[in-house]
Amino acid sequence: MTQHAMPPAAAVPMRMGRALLGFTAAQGTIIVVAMLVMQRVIWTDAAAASAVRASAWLAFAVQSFTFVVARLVAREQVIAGWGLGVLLRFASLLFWAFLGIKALGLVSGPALISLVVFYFVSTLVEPLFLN
Amino acid sequence: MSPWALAGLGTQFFGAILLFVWIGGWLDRRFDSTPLFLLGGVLLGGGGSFYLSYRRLTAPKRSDSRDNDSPTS
Repeated sequence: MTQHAMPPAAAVPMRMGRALLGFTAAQGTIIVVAMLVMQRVIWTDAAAASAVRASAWLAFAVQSFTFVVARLVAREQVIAGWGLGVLLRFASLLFWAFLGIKALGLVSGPALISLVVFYFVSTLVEPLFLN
Repeated sequence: MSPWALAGLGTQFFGAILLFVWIGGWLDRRFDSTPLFLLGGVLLGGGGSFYLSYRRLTAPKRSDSRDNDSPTS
């Protein structure tokens, strides 16, 4: 029986899709767990909990986007791809700190610290999906 | 560089930012200056950990070029 090997051009987007799916599931789980812990243990009042939830959504969106960018660059150079991902996250953190929090009227401490925590925990799993 | 080494670098990067942001938040609560120290913590922590990560990533290259430059006797 002959096996039909997938042409390389079609295999690349499929591998990317699989990696993105895996990373999204992993980071989504981590972010939800971290968010629930912070909302139940550290910032229990409504305003702070809502700031943590907003940061969780931002982290999820930014992480998914930066992962795709980092993975595209990582095909050539893993370190450059990873570094670009970290830089993009840091840029989003600056945006959140100086503009986003004020524009949405969130409590600055919980919003900023939780965003860094979300980035911190999902950076741990990202390299596993970059290769 | 292995995935775990990169994960370690990421931990260091965001860990340092987290520490400085937490200190900034604490100072803001103490001096009632929200969000001055918090933003300073983001900048200081981010700048410092970016510099440290850059040095760690380029360390093998730097030591290689030093070895190549040194005269052989």
